[in-house]
This record gives sequence, C-alpha cells and structure tokens, in this order.
Amino acid sequence: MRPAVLIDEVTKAQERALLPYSSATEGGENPFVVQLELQKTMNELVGIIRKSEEMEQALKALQEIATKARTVTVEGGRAFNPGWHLALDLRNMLLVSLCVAKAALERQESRGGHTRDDFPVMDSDWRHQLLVLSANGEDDVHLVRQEQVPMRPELLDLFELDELKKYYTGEELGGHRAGEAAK
Amino acid sequence: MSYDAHFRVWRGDDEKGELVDYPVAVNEGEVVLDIIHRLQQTQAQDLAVRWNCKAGKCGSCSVEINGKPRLACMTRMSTFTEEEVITVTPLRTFPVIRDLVTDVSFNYTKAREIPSFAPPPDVEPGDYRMQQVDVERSQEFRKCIECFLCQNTCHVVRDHEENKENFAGPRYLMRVAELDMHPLDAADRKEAAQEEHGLGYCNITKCCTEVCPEHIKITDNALIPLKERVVDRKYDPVVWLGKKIFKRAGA
Ligand code: SF4
Ligand code: SF4
Ligand code: FES
Repeated sequence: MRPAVLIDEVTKAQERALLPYSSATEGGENPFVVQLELQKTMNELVGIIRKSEEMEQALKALQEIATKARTVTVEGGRAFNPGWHLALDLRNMLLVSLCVAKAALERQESRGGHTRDDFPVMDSDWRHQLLVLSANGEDDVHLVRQEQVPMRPELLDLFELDELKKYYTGEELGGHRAGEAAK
Repeated sequence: MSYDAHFRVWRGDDEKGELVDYPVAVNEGEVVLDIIHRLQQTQAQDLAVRWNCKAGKCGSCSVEINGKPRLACMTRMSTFTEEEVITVTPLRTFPVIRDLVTDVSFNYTKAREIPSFAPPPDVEPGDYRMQQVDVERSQEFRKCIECFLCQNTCHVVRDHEENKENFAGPRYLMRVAELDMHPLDAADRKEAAQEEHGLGYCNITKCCTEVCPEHIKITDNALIPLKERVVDRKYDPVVWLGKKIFKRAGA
C-alpha cells in the first residue's frame, strides 16, 4: 500500500509557512534583522571559547529571539522571495542554535571543537556520554544523556594501551589484551 | 573603511522590470554579493538572488555586473571606484524568474543531450586501465563549476533565441571534447558534435574563455581541438575513399 498523504498535516504546514504573510498586518520583525541577532548571539556567547554564564545568557536571549522568529513578517510575493525563505529557515536555525547552546552548557569539559573556559581539560568520563537533543515543538529542545555503545574488545585490542589511556577510563579498558597479559 | 556606494539593480519578473537605484554601505574587503545581501537586509527584503558557497565554487551567483558576466561572490568591491555606479543585472541569455534569478534549464537540457561515458563493451568495470598522461588532457575541463557564464556570453545564443535548439554552447561542446579525448571512451562523438551539438556555429571568438571563472581555456583546449578532430575525420582521404566505395557498392 502506498502511504497516504495526510491532508490535515499538509494544510497545517501550509498555514504555518504562510504565517509570515499574515503577520505582516500586525507589524512583526524583518527576518533578516532576527537572523542577524541570532548570528550575533551565537557568535558572541556560544563561540569558540565558551563559559557557562555566557551560554545561560545565550539560552535566555534565544527565548526572546524565538518569540520574534514566530512573528516575522515578509514583503513581496511568493515567487523566489529570499525574505520569505529566510522566515522559513529561521525556525531550523533557531532549533540548531538551541541544540548547540544546550549541549555545550551541559558538557562540562573541553573536547575537539568545544572549548570551555571553565572546564579547560578533556575528561575521559565524558567521552562515553552522548548528549541527544530532539525538537520539542518549534522553539524548544529536549536533552537526554545516552551512553555510548562500548567498543568491541577485539577492536580495542588493535590499539596500544598507552594511546587508549589518553581517552578511555580504566573501567572501559579492563579487558584490553595488555591488561590481561599482565595478570 | 566604509563608504556609500551607488548600486543599480534590475528588479522585475518574466513580464516586466526596471533598474532600481540604491544607496548602500560598503565595508572594506566586501564583494558584490555581500552588498546584494545588505540590500536584502536593509531595503529590499524580497530581492531575489541565487547563491550558495560565497567561495566561487558552486557556480550559483552568476550575474552581469556593469555588463560583464561574473560571479557576484568573486567580484571585489575594491575593483570599483567609490563614485562608480555599479549596475547588476540578471544573465541575459536565460529567461528571468525574478530579479537576478534566471531559469537556466536550457543548460540541463543540453547536458542531457550528450550520451554519457561509454567504455568499450568488452572491458568490465574494474578493468579500466589508463595512462595518467592520456587522462591529463581532459582533466582541465573537469574544473568546470557550471556557472553557465560561458553559455550566457557566447554570441551564438546571446540574443539569438533561434539558435538555442541547435547549439549546445561552449560548456557542453567542451563536455563532448572531454569525452572524445577520454582514453577509454569508445563512442563516436565527432559527427554528433557537428551535426547535433552545433560545433559549426562556434567561430572561435574566445569570449567564453574570457569569462570563465575557472580559467579553463575552453576555446583553445576544447573547441578548437574538437573542430580539428571533426575535420580530420571529414577530410581524411581514406575515410573519404571508403565512403565513396561504400556508396558505389550500395548504389
Ligand atoms: S569561442 Fe565559440 S563557443 Fe566560445 S564564445 Fe566564441 S563562438 Fe561561442
Ligand atoms: S566552462 Fe567555465 S564559464 Fe563555462 S560553466 Fe564551466 S566554469 Fe562556468
Ligand atoms: S556563491 Fe558559489 S560561486 Fe558564488
């Protein structure tokens, strides 16, 4: 059986997409202005070097931006209108920004491209912690911690213990061939 | 260092349009696309422009700047004086959708008309063997980013709608050349180049080469050699004699 189109869902999505045209009468913000604000917030507060106060501040600012993003208004028609396209994209930009900010605040260590001024070193206990974020409506995200699937012992054995120790906790390395041999 | 520039941008759709004047701020290091984006942010939210990479690699932002076909993201503002009026118009050879965005499907149609790579039937995939030196020649053509600036510039189709049907344009004649030069391509492409893709329309003016942002020597390295290959075939005395005999035998 072919999947059927849910007309109600389509109508809802269509209405949502056209919202920026109907908010025009109510005098909402210009999507480009909201985008600039979002860009500036993320660049300054959740940038390359991160601090918890700044990220908390960012999350607050993102709430305000979300309100504005919901009521942006566009001018012009529907044919190839970048203002309208941006109004649609803003929702996704906002969700991604929320995910980045929330996960970065939660992760109390520095790892790869994530550098915390208040937690400057890499912490092995964090390596196996995944932070999974999912959208909860249009302007909220939900965070859960999930355990990383452990590496299979025969794969772990392919690496030297000294190298692994830099990244893994003692517990995870219990079954390594070097450890077994020492027994 | 900032200053106010005078931009003149074509605004309109497939029916009508006009040049609109905009005073707009320009900062150091910016390119024309940055200024178009500033216009969107500050004065013309619905100004349509196509772009993606801002790095001269996607070929989306092709427009005409002061009449010259160029990539908007690679045209530095520092190449103009502060007093100069900068006129930005859509590509002229293709129908306008809105403002600076044109319908470039002509190019996709032409691309589809060229049969794809055809290795000899008895060579299995995985058994392809080629010498680097034989491959090198067509490698240059692979740099193409499909910005269609060359297609837009070529006088054969610019302002000559009637030629579009019979002419593939420099980018796609180059594609034919690339396949014809491919050491493992077994298809005969020479006759089709002339008869179907309109190679004969090209009179090697090199205008296409001049606008190519990838600096591919389209005319010198693809079109002229392809013409030579076609001519070689056409006026090859052996082929000529063969055809005569064949014709007589058939008659
Ligand atoms: S060289 Fe040939 S393809 Fe290129 S612009 Fe001139 S006529 Fe057109
Ligand atoms: S050959 Fe050059 S000008 Fe033509 S489409 Fe490719 S990159 Fe653009
Ligand atoms: S934006 Fe990609 S080439 Fe200009």
